[in-house]
Amino acid sequence: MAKKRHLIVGSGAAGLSALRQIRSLSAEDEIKVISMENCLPYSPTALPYLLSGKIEEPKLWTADKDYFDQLRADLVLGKRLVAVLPEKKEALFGRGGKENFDTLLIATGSEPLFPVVEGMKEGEVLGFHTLKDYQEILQRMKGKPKAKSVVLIYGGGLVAMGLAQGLIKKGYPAKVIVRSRILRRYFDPEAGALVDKVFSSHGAEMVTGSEIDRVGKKGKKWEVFLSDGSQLSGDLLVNCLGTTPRVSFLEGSGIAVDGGIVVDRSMRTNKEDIYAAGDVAIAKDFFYGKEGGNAILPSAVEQGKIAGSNMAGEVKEYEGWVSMNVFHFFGKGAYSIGLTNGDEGMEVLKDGGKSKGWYKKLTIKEGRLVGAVFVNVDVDPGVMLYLIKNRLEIEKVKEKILEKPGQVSRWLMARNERA
Amino acid sequence: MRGFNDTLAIRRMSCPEGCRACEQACKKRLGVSVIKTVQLPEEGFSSVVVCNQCSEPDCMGVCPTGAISKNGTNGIVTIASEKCVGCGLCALACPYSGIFYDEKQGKSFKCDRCDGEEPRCVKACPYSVLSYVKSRTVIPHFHEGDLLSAGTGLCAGCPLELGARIMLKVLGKNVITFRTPGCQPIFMSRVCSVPTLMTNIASSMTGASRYLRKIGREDVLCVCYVGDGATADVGFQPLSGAAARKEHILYICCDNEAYMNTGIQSSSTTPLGAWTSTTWVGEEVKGKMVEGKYMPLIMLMHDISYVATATVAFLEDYVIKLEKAKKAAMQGTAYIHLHTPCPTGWRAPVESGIELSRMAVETNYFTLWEAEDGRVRFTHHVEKPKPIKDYCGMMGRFSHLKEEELKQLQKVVDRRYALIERLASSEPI
Repeated sequence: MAKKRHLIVGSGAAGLSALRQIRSLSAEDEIKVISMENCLPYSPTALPYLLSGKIEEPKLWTADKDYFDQLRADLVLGKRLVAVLPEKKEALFGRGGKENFDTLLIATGSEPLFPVVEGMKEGEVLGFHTLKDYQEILQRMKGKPKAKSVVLIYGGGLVAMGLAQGLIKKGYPAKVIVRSRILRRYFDPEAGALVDKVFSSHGAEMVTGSEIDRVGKKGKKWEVFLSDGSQLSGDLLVNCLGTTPRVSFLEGSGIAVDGGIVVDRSMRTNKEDIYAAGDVAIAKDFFYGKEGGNAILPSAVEQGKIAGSNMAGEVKEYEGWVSMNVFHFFGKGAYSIGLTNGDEGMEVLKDGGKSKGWYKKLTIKEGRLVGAVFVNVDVDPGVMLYLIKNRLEIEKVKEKILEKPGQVSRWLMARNERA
Repeated sequence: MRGFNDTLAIRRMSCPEGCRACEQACKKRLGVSVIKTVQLPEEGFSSVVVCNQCSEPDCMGVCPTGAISKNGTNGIVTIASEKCVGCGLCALACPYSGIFYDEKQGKSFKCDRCDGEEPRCVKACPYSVLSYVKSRTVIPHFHEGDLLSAGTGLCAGCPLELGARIMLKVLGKNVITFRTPGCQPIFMSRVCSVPTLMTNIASSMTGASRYLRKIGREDVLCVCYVGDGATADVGFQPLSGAAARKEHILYICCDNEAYMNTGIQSSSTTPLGAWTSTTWVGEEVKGKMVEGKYMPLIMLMHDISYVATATVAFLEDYVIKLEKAKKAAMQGTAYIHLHTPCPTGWRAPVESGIELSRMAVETNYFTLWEAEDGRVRFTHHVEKPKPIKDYCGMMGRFSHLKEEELKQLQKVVDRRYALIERLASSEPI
């Protein structure tokens, strides 16, 4: 077979996963990875920990030059994708760059959502999505007295809470402004309240149920006016409202976009030889085969691997994404896996709550586990995910799982593996 | 031998209730335990979970700082602690519970297989639920020259030859073998061999071993490969004496449970109920009326460096034990009790030798264990032991046994097994 030329745009989890997969399947093909940033690949997931001082900047890089050398791939930095021409099999980059490809993977990730609020200007109000954002936050907080400098965080998702934790651990008071309640996407009100309580006890202030109406500056301080009429002031305002797939460069390309890049089970777009994976992709979900985005690292890795296989010519199908996340906060763990809301036709079992300091919840559909939430419970989240993904029959032991989730889930997994 | 990595194996699914020896040993080394016992007695389940060192680890792909890597040479997957941010995504990605999140330190930990040394958990496991499988243990010995000469004077199907061939492959040329009148095939080998009497074998070895040490040839191993009569009956006193003095010898007893070479006369290891030419079956007498002597435990009580049981059905186990015994015999006495079925004397089909040995293990009639410096551990555990009648049914020597007599023999088996199990769970003798 003739040597192929693979182009991977984006050096995040999906891009690197595809790179490893292509190389493991074909020794000869040419692979080029292009990043819009001017630094080695890193994951935004690690940024809050960089902020809290848990790791040093040199330890941040997921891959270095040796890594690309070993995989015999070229890494090109600082080039931003501006257009894709599927018919010509060309990708155009800023400042006149052009690359040809036999297969293309678009793994450009996501960009922060910026709200339309009076007085909020991008650049002045920071985000927390890139290494540059992190460096900017450090720069602006430099020299400010720690205990007295308040950071206002707008949003209550995992990025917001991770940032809040990082700041608190560094000694800065953080105020989290949430439109509804924290971690809404992953945790129900009971689980969220538990997390909220722990954050509050560590000095974070939670302002829930309010939107920001407008912001202004008074001297060096930010003035924030909320929808309930109250007012907050702080030294720094960071927007963490969420992210959206980075797809603006696809306009006019003919590649189907619907919130993100729509792909089939092989992670292929509507155009031959053009694939998408990771935060940017709209792929099928595990339970219903419905299309949607799932901007989390584990999905990016899986999708990158599937895309890589198909790009290298080995047909692989994606089994679909499962919504999930882990959040470790102040010595406690919170896990959310699968369909945790308990929709129609699902049975919900729960135990614990705010007063007990822990929480467990299982959602079951047709005798099989489809979702699980645990806060401050000794359990292995990967094994729970195993039970869900393998669609194990748990009807007879569901109460037992709720009672002793760690032991029972490991037992079910081991029994299934060794059967 | 690329492509073969040593493996931490979980042998069976039932650990003894309440045992956490592996967790404790692991915690002692790392501060946290990266192996976990899972015990659900009500479901009849107790086992452990630990990292499988996957060939394509899912944990590695999701790590946001690239802290997890797989060693290309030994296959071990490790987390570089200084790069770990403690996000816990690896524990979410691993379906096998191989990642352990420590909330106190806020970091993930996993098994690094004791950095290539023999795993602490395996050493600590009293029931050999855990074992360290070195994939190359048996293979290399088969590539060395064969020290056993071609041809055999043994009966058809006799497993003594296999036992001896493997023994010489593992021990090598640098040995002096000792033999007695009997079936053993050592006289057909290409190594130095000394004939002795059945009554003085251990004393002869003592003399040779001491002389070798005196002339500075500690590297030469004195080993015997002799029968149960010479060991448990007529040669017992010299053996007991040599063991008590901790002579530097390796004593291998091939137990075929009677004096086979002279006409199948009963020995003290002949089992309860077995027919021999001196424990016949008639109206009054139904084979041997008393149970057989269990030599391995008697040797254990001599407090010697190494004691093990082995069979020709579990060759890898036998090889590992020979290697350990060889080492131990350089410092003191080592003893291996090798179960060697005798199709002729046991009235069994000639091709059944190895299957007889396997069934002996699977019925717990002959348990596989070893004791290093008095510490007893099983080396093979039978999850669901078969009834003794499955073993007896394979041989003519037990064909006269009725239900009641089989029950008696089952009792002997159960009692002996329980005793070894107790020893395995207790402190060193």
